[in-house]
Amino acid sequence: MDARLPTILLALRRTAAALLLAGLAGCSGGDAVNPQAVLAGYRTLAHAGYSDAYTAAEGLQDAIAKLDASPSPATLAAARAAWRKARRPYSRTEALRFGNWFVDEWEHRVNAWPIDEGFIDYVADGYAASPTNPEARLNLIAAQRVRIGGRTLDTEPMRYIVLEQAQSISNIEANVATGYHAIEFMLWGQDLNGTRLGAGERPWTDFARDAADCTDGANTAPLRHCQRRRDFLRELVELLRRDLRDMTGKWGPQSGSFGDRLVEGDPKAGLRRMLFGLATMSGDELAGERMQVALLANAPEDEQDCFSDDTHRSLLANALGIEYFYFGRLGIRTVPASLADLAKQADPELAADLELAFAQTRRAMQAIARAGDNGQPFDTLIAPGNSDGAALIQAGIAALREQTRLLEQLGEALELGGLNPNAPNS
Amino acid sequence: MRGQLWISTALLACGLAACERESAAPEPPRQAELPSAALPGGQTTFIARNPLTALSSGAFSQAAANLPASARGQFAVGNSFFTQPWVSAPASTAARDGLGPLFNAAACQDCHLHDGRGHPPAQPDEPLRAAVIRLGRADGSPDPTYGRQVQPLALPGLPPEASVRVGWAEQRFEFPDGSALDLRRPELELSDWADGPPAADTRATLLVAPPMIGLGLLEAIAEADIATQQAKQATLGLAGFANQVPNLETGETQIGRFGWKATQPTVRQQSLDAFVNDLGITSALFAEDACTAAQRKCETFPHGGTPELQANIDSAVTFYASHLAPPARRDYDNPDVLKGQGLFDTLGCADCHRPSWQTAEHHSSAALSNQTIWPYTDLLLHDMGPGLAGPVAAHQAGPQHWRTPPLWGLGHAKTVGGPAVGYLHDGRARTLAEAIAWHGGEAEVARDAWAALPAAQRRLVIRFLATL
Repeated sequence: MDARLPTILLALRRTAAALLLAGLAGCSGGDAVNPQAVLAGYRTLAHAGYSDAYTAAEGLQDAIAKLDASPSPATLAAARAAWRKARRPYSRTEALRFGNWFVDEWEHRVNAWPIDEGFIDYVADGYAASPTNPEARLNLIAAQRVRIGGRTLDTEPMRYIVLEQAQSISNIEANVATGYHAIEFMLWGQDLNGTRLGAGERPWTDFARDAADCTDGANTAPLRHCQRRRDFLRELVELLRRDLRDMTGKWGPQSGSFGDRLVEGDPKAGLRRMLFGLATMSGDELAGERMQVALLANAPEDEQDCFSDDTHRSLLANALGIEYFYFGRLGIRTVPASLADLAKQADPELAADLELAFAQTRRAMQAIARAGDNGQPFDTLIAPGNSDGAALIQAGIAALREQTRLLEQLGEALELGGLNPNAPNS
Repeated sequence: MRGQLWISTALLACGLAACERESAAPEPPRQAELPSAALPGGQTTFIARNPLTALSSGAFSQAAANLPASARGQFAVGNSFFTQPWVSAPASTAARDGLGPLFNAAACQDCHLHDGRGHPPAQPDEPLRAAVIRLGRADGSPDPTYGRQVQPLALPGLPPEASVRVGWAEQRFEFPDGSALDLRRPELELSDWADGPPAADTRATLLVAPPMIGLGLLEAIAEADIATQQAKQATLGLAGFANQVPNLETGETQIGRFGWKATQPTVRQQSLDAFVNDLGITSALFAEDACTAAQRKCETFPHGGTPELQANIDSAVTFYASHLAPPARRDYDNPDVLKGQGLFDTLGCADCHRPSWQTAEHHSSAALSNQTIWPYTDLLLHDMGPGLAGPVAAHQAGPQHWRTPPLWGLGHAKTVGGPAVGYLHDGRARTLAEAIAWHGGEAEVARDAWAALPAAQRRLVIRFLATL
């Protein structure tokens, strides 16, 4: 609720908004924004967002194929760069996650974190996983056969279906074997620098094709380990590509797709899902889980891209994704109708406040990203006693929370009856 | 920029559409389309997820649907501290240290699997992971050496309190129609005691972690309404009563609502009790680690702060634990399910498993206030007979007394927690039929009435329970 407005004005605003929605649903007169067109724009953008993520994943697949064919410092560096490039378009699409149950369920396959790394590969001596995770040192790379949650799994040969199973039959959420972060760990290795500067430093020889070169980090290793790491990467990037292809398809224009059903369904329900998703990504996931928790705990385990130290860029892309889906644009591509247009029509003052809030968030998140690019990645910002770092993150959290509050207010202005993951009572 | 043609991804769209295999899952229904009985948590009920029950492992992990977006940040912070493991002190992560020195688990989620229930070890030689062993003497006091609970894990340098092995004794339940059901009950073997044997009259009870859904709603039921339910017991031919337990925040005696024997009055006190006993994390309400005077070595371990649980994390976890939504029911209007529901009523099951309540004003959350909820519990303690007796008493609850457990979410139990998940306080019942068969004491009449039904009708009751 906007405290600055007298109640009577607020009531007028809400009535106007109600009239607009009621009047618009059935007709296409004037310059009015049609809620269904807003939903159609959302679907189009979602499809484009996942298409971008898909294309970038193909790039990552190419780079991993080269690393697989001829492991070297250069091909490893190129694969890491491709991973970073693939993260950005994906991170934008996370604005879609919470309004759409089929995205939220799918997300665990592609973006689960944090990871107990010992589930996947060798770990350093000081590795501190949960003492109650019996699979925290499972080491899928070295093992031929593993026992997870009372079930035996043959891990030879290394196929993504086995990795999917390994993750899904474990009751421990930190036992992650698929998705961006499993690939990230395989490309970078553990970040042993704590909250000091420095990311994971896995040597290229962990992927060597020559028995004389193959290592487990600093130690020599059987060639099989290196072979299986390359298999692991190849299989996982193929799984990621397929998962992104499936999700892109769900947002396709074809009749009966999940996206199409959203557009053709009750417009109020659709708008509510959109807004709920944006507000939840903003206030709950980004400000809460990804930033506040890490700051409270001062723990690098709580930063999302902890192996690559790329968190600052993911956070910015997450924030920009919310902005893009609100304004109906993705880079230079735009759609004809957006939530921002609807807001402007229903409540110009609130729309202006939202515009300012998004600009503020962008500035705050860009400041975090800039710090990261200038030698102060996220894990150094959350170090105990780094008050400048904490202030940078707090500014981002505050901006995201204000934006969340206004998005919620927009739900009221559009008479959606409060933001809620379930469809509205009509 | 408006009106620019959308062509950049059109080609890709066509290519991808061909690959699309659309899921057969229909869209979830809307809250407004469902009757109250399909919405166990009232407006908190979460619906918007995969309609296929078998895929809903996240069914218990959702925030109350009516929680404002501005409050969801707090839920997310609580979720993180519920899920991520705690570490020993001192550690760089000051907020997450203080584990132990004695403990059962390193994270709440270790036992409350995906926010659902825990389970006994699937095999006798598996470690005890998602369950605990409570200790008590004949007079209700804790064991002088090991306290109220066995901690089978300890930080390096300290021996765990004991080794635990859960074996099973088999017995049969015979139906009047001549068919039978194999039952099992746990036989605990405690050995390798770190500081000598426990007191001669110390007894042990196995308890699995209960599911986390709807706890704040149960807290929002008015005390007076529970008292009214208690006053009705004689007319129902029952003897249920509310446990009376201390509220450590106010110092007053209050109705106990949480825990298998209703030993805790509030979600916060229940959570902080678990923090100190299960994780070894001290808090504002429990200043001392779960070590007795006899366990002097405990004191040599560094603390992760005084208390170890920071106030802001205490609040966030309590908020999280209060706002996990019960999932919507499925197939609530299926004719067989309705028949089963009718039997559930006429057999007398619903006398204790009271279907519905109206919540009052919750002390701090509007989302939990004034909701019509369907937990299927009267929140009272009942004598369940010698077959289920857990020898450890707690306040007014004697060995045979158990609080009627809520049944909401029952049909999701194994989907959420895995195939080793069972029912009843120690997870002994592998199926719902076994769980019913174990009912004795005040529930014996209803149990016998169920057992006397033809098999097809017995199954209808189960069918109904599985839709909750």
